[in-house]
Amino acid sequence: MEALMSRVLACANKVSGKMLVLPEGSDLPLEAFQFDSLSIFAFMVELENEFGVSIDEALMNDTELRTLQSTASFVASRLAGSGNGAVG
Amino acid sequence: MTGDLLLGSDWVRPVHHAPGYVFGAASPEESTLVGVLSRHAAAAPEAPFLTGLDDAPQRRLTYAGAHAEVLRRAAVLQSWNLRRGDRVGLLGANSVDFALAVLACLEGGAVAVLLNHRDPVERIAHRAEFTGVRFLLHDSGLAAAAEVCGCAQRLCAFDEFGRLAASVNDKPLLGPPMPTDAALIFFTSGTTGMPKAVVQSHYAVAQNAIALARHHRIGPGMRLLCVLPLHHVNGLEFTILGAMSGGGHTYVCQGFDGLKFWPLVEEHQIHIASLVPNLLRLLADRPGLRGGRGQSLRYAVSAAAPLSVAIAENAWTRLGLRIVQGYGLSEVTNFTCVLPADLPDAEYQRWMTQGRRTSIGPALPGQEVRIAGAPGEEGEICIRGNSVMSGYLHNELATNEAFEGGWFHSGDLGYAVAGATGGDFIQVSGRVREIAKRSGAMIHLLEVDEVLGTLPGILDFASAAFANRWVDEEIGAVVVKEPGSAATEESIIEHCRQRLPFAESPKAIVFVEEVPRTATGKVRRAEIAGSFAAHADRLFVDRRARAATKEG
Repeated sequence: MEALMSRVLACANKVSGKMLVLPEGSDLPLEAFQFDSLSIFAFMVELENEFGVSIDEALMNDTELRTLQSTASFVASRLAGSGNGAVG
Repeated sequence: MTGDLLLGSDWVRPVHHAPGYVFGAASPEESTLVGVLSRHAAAAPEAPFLTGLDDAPQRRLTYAGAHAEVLRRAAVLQSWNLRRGDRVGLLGANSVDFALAVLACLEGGAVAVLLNHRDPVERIAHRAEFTGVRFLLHDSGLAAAAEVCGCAQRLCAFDEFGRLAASVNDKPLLGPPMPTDAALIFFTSGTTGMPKAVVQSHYAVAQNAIALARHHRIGPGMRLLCVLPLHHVNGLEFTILGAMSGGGHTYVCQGFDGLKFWPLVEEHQIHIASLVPNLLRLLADRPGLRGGRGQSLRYAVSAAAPLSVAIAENAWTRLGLRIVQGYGLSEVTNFTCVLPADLPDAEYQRWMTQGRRTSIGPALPGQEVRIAGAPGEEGEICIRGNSVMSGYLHNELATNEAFEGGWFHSGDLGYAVAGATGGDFIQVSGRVREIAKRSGAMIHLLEVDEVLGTLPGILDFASAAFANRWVDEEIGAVVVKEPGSAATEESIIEHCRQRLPFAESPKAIVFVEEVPRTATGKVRRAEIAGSFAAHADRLFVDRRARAATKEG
């Protein structure tokens, strides 16, 4: 999960233009990246491209994408569901 | 009535109108918007008019309530010794207070100057001074920006303006404005040189709003969603003034939020949402976000930039959403053409999803479109009619150039296709002018070039608009460095960013041996645009603003 978190963090940094770091074992709220109405979509696309998963349903109830940890958990569940367990 | 008409104390401009539409032929009630609010207030006092979804606390006004608020605000303006034609600057994010301030200006005989609160303060001050702003109404959070406008005799925050209005019992004393009086001023350009300030008369504003209300069949109970800025024509003149003309109800948001769009449509049972192509693309690319919600939405209106067939098709097939595309500019008081809203499905698809380009429909009543050049061929879209601007303030030369031959020259290329039931439908095919359309906002590339020209250590340069999935078009530049120049991509971008708003600054720089030009020296901007293909999918973010936000 740490490796997956690291990849999610890289996606968030890339889209937001930030260079935030994540101390081992901690979490970050996505608010830290100051996504706006456009960049949150760009973040979704970045995750989809990086992991090959679909994000739409996650946002239907707006619960999964609140922190890096919950985002990584969501991505992991999608990867497991698609039979692609190679999450690094 | 034809010929020159006095529109203000310091300038005279001709009124341009279409054959068959005699200026002054509209009834007095339809020659200005003054009185529209009072008629709705009398006919349906409890009908809702404005809901501020992002106002704190959320706020809803009926027509009667809004009418009373507007009259009191107009009285406050006049208590400041406002003279007819005085310019009142408006600086703020979308809110009910902002809309009420515009209406108070119209009612009270002032000219509302629409300032962009996201502009650098120097530009805000420059534009306020250029237009001779005497009073400045602003968001309380923008007091520092307002302070820079030294020309204004009085600054007043919107909330304070509302408090003053609450203590006023008087009605405005000045009589109603003349149809030819200036009503609104919008800016279309002017980064470093003389701004182009578009002056719209009460007549033009009223005729456009009334035509739009009829086109969209806006009436009591019709609910519109406003997410576009009120300092632009579409946000203000369609979703507020057009809705008001028909007696509709507008839900005002500070901006578009893709994650909240469908929940908002569902919660408030919105019928029409006015958007721009890049926002529609986000929605069409993410059909899962809809999740069956928002069935009340009859269609989305799209304007400000050409809508691609792919977006229209995706919206149709993935969302079941019809898009009614319109076309216009500040210079023609918002919309000139709009696709009919009630086309049969087959004809809708013919115009929007099955051709090479989407259509902007025929001209609205009261306006006339001509394609310059041979019949049936591509040419510049030229417009005349009841809604064309009075002119550019303090810019006789630009006004005369724009109205060469008695028609307003749009700078856009198009061609006409015969409609099934007669009349021409217009397709927009390109541009004559050197502009970019970023998220629906027009950016003049020559103004970007002006700033690039202040860079030390470079031999030649040119900016260009390149395709970008997030904002439709972004700005890039090619630069030829002097030998030994230390200029880097980062230093050039920062140089521009210090002098231009983020939207107008180049986001990518490519160093070249030579700027592509025609034999006559004209920059080949389309060719330059190809240099930025690698950035087509990249979202550029304003790091400076984010840093400031964090610090603030």
